[in-house]
Amino acid sequence: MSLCFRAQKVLRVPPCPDDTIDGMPETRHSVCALDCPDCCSLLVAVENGRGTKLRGDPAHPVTRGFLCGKVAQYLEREYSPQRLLYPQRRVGAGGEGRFERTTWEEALDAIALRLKSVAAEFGPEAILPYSYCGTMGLLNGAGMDRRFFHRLGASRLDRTICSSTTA
Amino acid sequence: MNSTFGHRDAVDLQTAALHLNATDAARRGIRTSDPVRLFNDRGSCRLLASVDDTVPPGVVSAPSVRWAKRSPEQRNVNALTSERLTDAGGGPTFYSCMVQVESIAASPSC
Repeated sequence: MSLCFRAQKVLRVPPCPDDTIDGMPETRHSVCALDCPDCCSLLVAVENGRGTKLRGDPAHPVTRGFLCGKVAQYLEREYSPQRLLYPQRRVGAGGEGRFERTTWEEALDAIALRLKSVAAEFGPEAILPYSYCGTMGLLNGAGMDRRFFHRLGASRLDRTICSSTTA
Repeated sequence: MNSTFGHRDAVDLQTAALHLNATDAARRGIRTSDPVRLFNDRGSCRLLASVDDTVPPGVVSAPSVRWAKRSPEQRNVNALTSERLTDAGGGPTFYSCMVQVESIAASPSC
């Protein structure tokens, strides 16, 4: 499971044998998983199934090898021991920080049950999807959740906090 | 710069800093690397002083937001900023606010 490689699977870009990092035998194309519209193109050297070196793809006509100071260190994030890999269910009191691993099926069932019961008791407007973007890519950040919550009839967030008057 | 990569030690170090002008620092007996308390009527947090020329006298700068769980007392500069939205566009007002700074050593409350 790798954020770096997810985009590659979607785009079906084949490994690129003649554009390698430092002559590393296995180098793959990928794309930054964050939300900037330029979507910097990446090259990732892979050793034994693990990304070991990362750089901007100099052959990309738009981003031309550029990576920002954050994403240049993306492999550190990818393999951070702090990274969440599985759904977690809170088992302690709120704020206590105690969680245990659960399955996607259990997590989705629990969330669906809660959303349905809130909508049934108070109306779907009582549900507010609270999110913004930054690390979700364009599909997640600008569309898929909106369709779901629109169908549900949930309240809509203003979504001005990062976009109307800044950046 | 936002807090997206705040788990990295290098980013944590950057976001733990409070930049002060030498004039303001001298008046408060603060030197680079000193722990300082930053506060206003909303709350307080602790950062490490960086005395340099990046800001004029009367202004301090905390670049981005240190992760709360890596901060002393689990509080960062978000404790000092307002939740009020701007009149034009409903944007955030957390880019600037009134604060006071004191050396931790000089503060009996810390």
